[in-house]
Amino acid sequence: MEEEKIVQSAQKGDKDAFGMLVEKHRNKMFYLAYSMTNNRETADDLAQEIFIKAYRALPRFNLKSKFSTWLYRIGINTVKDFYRKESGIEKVSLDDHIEIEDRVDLNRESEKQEKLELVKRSIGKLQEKHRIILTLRDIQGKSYSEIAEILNISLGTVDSRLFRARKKLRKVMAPYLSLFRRES
Amino acid sequence: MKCKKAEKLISRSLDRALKPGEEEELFKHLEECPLCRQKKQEYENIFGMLGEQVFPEPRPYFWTRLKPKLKREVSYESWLAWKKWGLRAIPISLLVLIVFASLVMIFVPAEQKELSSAEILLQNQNPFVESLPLLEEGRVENENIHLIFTSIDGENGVRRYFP
Repeated sequence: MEEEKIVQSAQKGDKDAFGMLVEKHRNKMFYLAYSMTNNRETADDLAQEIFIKAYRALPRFNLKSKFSTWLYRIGINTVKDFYRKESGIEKVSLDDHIEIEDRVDLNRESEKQEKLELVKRSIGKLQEKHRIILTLRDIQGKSYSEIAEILNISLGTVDSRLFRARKKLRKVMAPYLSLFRRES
Repeated sequence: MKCKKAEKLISRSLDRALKPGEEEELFKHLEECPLCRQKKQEYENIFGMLGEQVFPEPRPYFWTRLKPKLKREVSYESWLAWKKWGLRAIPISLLVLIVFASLVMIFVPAEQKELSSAEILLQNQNPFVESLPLLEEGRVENENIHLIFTSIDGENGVRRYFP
């Protein structure tokens, strides 16, 4: 069954059709929330909230864009709302030191695990808009045009914002990259 | 090419979004600039790490857990809709009521109050308005009927108004 038809059925109140949409997109929404929060429980709650909001707004969805794009928009707004409520999260400075050596023993844990942890913590230090664009492009692999549509910005803005986000991420991660090379 | 532009092109190269001319230009710059070569290496390492991200699964029974929340949502939505329209209906119905009452007051004449005999006498009005035309006809039989009633009223102690 085509997604458009499933969406139309869901719009008419067919709960099973909405269930099919949830099953199809739940991981994407969960990963979006997880890459922004780094917490499974919170990400799960946020993913559920995204679908509740989508269910509420479904009658107003006009099928002009892809369902996934529309859902991503809801997802991004939900995550933004979450960050606004948890205002403390935004106050981390780029210059704050990531205590990776103290927190995890490099000899005991695998390097891959260490790298993943470093990425998570480094992304967490970025501004909200930079975290979002990195998640969409470099983690979820969305195309420039999809990102432009989801975030309602031009392709040029996608390009420049992505560059700034990567530049800041490099600034945060650079000292630790040399550490990894030395250890390995 | 300046290092600033080279860095931008390095970022674009990660997405394979370089134009043919830009690729050669960047390659040339990297050959000459060890700092940008290092930056490129770092960007590639970071990009690789981002791609290696492993995500946990959402908690089990996602849809099963979501379903009752949607049900609550539906009942809450209908309550909200009722509340929204109900609250709007209150001032509208009050307005309609006021308009209707004013129209009634303007267009429907007030019912004439039936006066008691005492009130009629106090106001010195004629209680026989309906029978006046009959009396004015001056017919003998009507006059007689009038006399009969007067005599009955006299016996009962009722006082009638005579014009």
